[in-house]
Amino acid sequence: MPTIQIGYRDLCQLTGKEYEPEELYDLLPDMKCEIEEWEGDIITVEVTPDRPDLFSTEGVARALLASGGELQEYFTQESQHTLDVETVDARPYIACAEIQNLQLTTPIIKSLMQLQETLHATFGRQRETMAIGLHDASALRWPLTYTAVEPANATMQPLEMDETLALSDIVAKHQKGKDYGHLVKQYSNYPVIIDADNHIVSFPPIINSAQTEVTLNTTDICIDVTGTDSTSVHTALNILVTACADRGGTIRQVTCHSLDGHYMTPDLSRVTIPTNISYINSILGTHLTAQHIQTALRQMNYTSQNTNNIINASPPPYRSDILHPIDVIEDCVMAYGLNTFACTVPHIATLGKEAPIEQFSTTIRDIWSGFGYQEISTPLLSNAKELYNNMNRPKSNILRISNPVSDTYTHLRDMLLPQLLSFLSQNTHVTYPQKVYECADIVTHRTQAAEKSLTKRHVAGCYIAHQGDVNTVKGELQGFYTALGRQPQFVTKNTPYYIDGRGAELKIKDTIIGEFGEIHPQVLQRYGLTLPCIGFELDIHTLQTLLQS
Amino acid sequence: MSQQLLHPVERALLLALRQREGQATVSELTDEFDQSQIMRTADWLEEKELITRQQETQEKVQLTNRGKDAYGDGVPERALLQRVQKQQVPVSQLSEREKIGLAQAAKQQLATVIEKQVQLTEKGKQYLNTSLPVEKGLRKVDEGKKVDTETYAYLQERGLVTEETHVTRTLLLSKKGQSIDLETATGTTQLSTNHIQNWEDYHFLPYDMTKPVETQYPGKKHPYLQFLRRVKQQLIAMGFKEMTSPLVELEFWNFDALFQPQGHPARELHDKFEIAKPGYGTMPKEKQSYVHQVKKAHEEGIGESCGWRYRWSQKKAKRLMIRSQNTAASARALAEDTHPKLFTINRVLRPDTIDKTHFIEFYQMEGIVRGPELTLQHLLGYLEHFGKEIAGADAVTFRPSYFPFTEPSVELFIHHPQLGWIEVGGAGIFRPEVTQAFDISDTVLAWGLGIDRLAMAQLNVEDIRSLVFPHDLAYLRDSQVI
Repeated sequence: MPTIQIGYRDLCQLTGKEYEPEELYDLLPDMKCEIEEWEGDIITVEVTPDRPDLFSTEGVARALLASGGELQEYFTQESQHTLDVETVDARPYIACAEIQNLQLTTPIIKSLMQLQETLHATFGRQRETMAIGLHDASALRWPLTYTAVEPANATMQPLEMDETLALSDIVAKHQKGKDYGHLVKQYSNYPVIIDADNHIVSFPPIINSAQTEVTLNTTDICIDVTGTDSTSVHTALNILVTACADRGGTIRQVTCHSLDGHYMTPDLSRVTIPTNISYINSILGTHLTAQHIQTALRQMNYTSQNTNNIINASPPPYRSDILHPIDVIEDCVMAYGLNTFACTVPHIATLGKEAPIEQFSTTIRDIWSGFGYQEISTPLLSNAKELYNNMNRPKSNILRISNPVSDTYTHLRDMLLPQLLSFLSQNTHVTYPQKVYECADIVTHRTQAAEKSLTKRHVAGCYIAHQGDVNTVKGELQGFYTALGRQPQFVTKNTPYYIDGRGAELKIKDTIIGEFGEIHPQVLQRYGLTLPCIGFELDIHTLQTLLQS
Repeated sequence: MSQQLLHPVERALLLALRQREGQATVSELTDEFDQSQIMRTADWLEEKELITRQQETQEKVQLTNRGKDAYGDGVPERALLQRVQKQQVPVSQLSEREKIGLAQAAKQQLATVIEKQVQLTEKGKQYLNTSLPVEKGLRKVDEGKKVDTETYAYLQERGLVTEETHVTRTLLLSKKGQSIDLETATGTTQLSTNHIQNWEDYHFLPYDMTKPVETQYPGKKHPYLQFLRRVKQQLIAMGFKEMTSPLVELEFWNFDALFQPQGHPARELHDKFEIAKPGYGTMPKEKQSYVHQVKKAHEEGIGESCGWRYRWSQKKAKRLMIRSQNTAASARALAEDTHPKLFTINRVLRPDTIDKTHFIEFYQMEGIVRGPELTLQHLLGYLEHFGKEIAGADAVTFRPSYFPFTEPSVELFIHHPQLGWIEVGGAGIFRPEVTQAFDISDTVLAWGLGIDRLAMAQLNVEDIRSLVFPHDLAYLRDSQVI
C-alpha cells in the first residue's frame, strides 16, 4: 500500500488547528490513513490505494477539515492559454493546467514532489497510465503543442544533465530514460510538449526540459498530465491542482484543441450519483433521513441535493473511486464512523455441512492416528530437487511457478512422501521408532480440467525403526482398508524410490489408489537416514469417489 | 515366603554356581550374564543367605605402553651401544632415538662423550653381548615373574612399568543355597497361558512399579490443524456450509469475478504466484454467460455502476495462478452454490519475505452470508462474534479499508489481553458489480480473516512457521491435546 510522509507542523498550519497526537491517532485511521510511524515531526502514513487524493499533506489536511464540517470547494479561472493536442499513439490523453501566485517553500516543493511520485508509482502504474510534468510557467511561451516526434531528430536538455541530447539518447543515457524508456520504445515517434518557441519542454513520461525547472523562485506553475487512461489523467490533474490551491495558488484552465474538439482542463465540475435513501438504509440497517445523509456526505466533501427521497450526491472532483451509489454509502459510513454501528448476528436458519472431502479426511486421520502415527503438516510448495532428484523420479516442470521467492519453494508438490522424508531427516536425534503421516492436498496435471490441473487429497506416512519391516505397514494398510470396507489388491511394482521387489501398487479393480514400499537406501542416504523406512502414499480423493459409487 | 521367592535370574545364577561345584569368580560368569546383572542378583541372593561373597585383592606389576614398546623394540641405550660398538661416532650424527639412548647410557656409565665423540666405556663393552639390568627386568615383568624392589623402582621411574590392583570376587553357594529346591522356589515374572490356566501353582513376583521407563507417544493430530478443526466445527454449528476450491486457479475466479480490474493497482493489493507452464487455463462453456457479465461489469458497468472503463481481456482472465485469496472460493460459490451461509478455511499462497510473522503459505478463514435483509450491522455482528468467540479477544474495533470487491470495506482489529491490538483481516459487503454479474440481488456479506493471526494470539505462538509447519517431532510428541 502507498506510504507517504506528512509533516506534523505543516499539517497543523494547513488546517489551522493544533491537533493533539492522540487526536490524529484516532482520526486518521478512520479516514483510510493508517499511522505507521511517528518520529519527531514526521508522521508516516499508509493510505489505501483507492484514495490517491490522500497521498499528500494537502489532501489529508483537506479531509480533516471536511470531517470537522468545513466543506472545501475549488474554483478555476479561465486563462487565454491553449494547448494543441495532436495524435500521440504512445500516450493519447493529455490534460494541462496553470497555477498562479504560488509562494513556494521547501516543504511545499517536497510535498508536491512526494504527491507526484506516489501518484506515479501507484495510481499511474509506474508512469504507464498516467505521468505528471511540473514546469516553471514563466520559462515557456504559450501556446503549447502536444505531439509525437522522431526521437533521433528532436533534442532537448533534460533535467539533471548539462548537455542537449536527442530523445533517443535520453532514453539510452538518462537514468529516467533507462527506468521508463520501455513505455515509448515500441513507438516510432515519441511524445513531446513543444512551446511557441519550438522548444521541447517535456518528454513524457520520461523527463522534463531543464529550461522549465521549478525552483523556489517559481510563482506560476504549468502542470501537464499525459497517459493511456483518460480518467486517470484527469483525476491526477485534479488532485494536483487542488493541492496547489490548498497552498494558496490560483487554478487557471487551459483550453485544449484536439481533433475531436475543444475542452478545458482541469475540469473541477462534480459528477452526480443519484442514490436512493431507502437503498442507503437497507445496506446500513438504519433509518437515516435525507438531512442525516446530506450532513454526513458534506463531511466527506460532497455536495448533495435531495429530490423525492433520492440524494443526488456529488463527490469532490479529485475522487475517481465513486463508481456506484454503494461507494456513496461507504463515504456515509466513514463520516459516521464504523464503530458507531450496532453489531448484530442475524438469525438465518440453515443446516451446517462439512465438505465431503474434509469429512472423509477426518476419518482417514483418525485411522492413522489410531495406528500410532503422529500427524505433521508441510508446505504445498517444494522444489525439483526434493520432489524429483532425491526420489529418483523423472523431472516434471508442469507445476513450476514462474516467480518463486526462494529456491526451496519453486514447485507445487505432486506427492507428499518427499516432504515426509525431509521431516524425518530433521528428527534423527529423536527416539525411534518414528511413525508420521500427513493428510493434505497435492496437485497433478490434468489437460481436460479448466485449471489444467487437479487438486487432490492424499494421505502419506512413514514408519522408520531399527527393525522396520514392510509387513508391519502392509498389515496396517490392510486394516485401514478393512475399516473403510474395500480391500485393494496389492500388485508388486518397481518404483525408483522403493527397493526393487519391495514396492507395490494398491488397486481397486483397475484404478490405482495408492502405493507403498520400503524406501531405497540411496534415497535414505540423501536424507541422512540410517534406519529402514517404509513409506506409503494413498489417493484419498479417488478412494472417496470409488466408495461413493 | 514371598521374600524367599526367586526371580528367574536368581535361579539361573544359583544354577550356574551349582554347575561350577558351588563357587565361581565373577569373571567366570560373564559369558552367561552381564556384569551388572551378576552384581545386582548377587546382592539379592546374599540377602536371602543363599550365597556368600569373597573378595581378594592382589597388586600386580605390569608393563606400561612405553614398557611394552621398549620390551618389543629394545631399549634406546641398546640402540646406542650397537651404533658405537665398532667405532666412536660424533654426537651430531646420532638419530633422535640414539640421543635418548646416549642420555640413558651415560647415566649407567655405559658410554661417554669426549670432544663430541661418543665412545663405549669398559662397562659398556661388557654389555654388548649380555642383557642390561633394565632388559632383564622388563622380561621378568612380561613373564609375570617378581622383580626386586630396586629394579621395580628403576623401571617405574622410567615409566616402563606400573602396579595395578586386581580384585577377584568369588561367589560361593551357602548351605541353604546348595539345598534349596530351585523349581518350587522360583517366582513368575512374564505370564504365559500355562501360568494363567494354573495360576494357583505359581507365585507372581512383584515389580518395581516406580521405576521410570521409556515414554510411548499416542498418534496425535497436528495441534494447529486441530485448532482449525475446532473453528470449523463452530462455523458448522452456526449453520455454515463448507466450500472447496482448486489450488491452481484461473485469475478469473481469483480476481476478475471479484471486480478487480486488469492492469490496475486494485488487482495488486497483494502479489500472486503464477504457474509457469501451462500458463493459461480454459473457461468452461457453461460459465460463458458469467464471463460475459463480468466483462460488462469491468468495461461499462452493470446496474447503476459506471464500471472500470477499460478493455477487458479474456486471455488475462485465463492466466493460471495459485489461489491467493479464498475469496476465489466465494466467487465460485456465487456461481454454483445457493446455500445462504458458506465458509472455507484453507491455505492461500502469496510471494512474501519469509520471517517470523510472514510465510508464503497461510490459512484464511473466508465466509459469505447472503440474504435479502442483511445489513452492515450484521457483518459487524459476525466479525465481533469471530473476534470474541474464536480468537478470545476482549474487545474488537473496525476501521474503514479498501478491497475492490467489497463496499463498504472493513478491517477487523481485535484486542488481545497480552499482545494488544492485532489486525486480523478484511471484510465488507460484496459490491453490486460482483453479485449482479452472477444474477444475485441479495446482499452478500463477506470476510477473509487471517486465521493464523487469530491462532498465534490464542495459542501464544510467536513464529508462524512453528505454528503451521513445525518440523520438530519432539515438539509434536510433547504437544498437549487440550
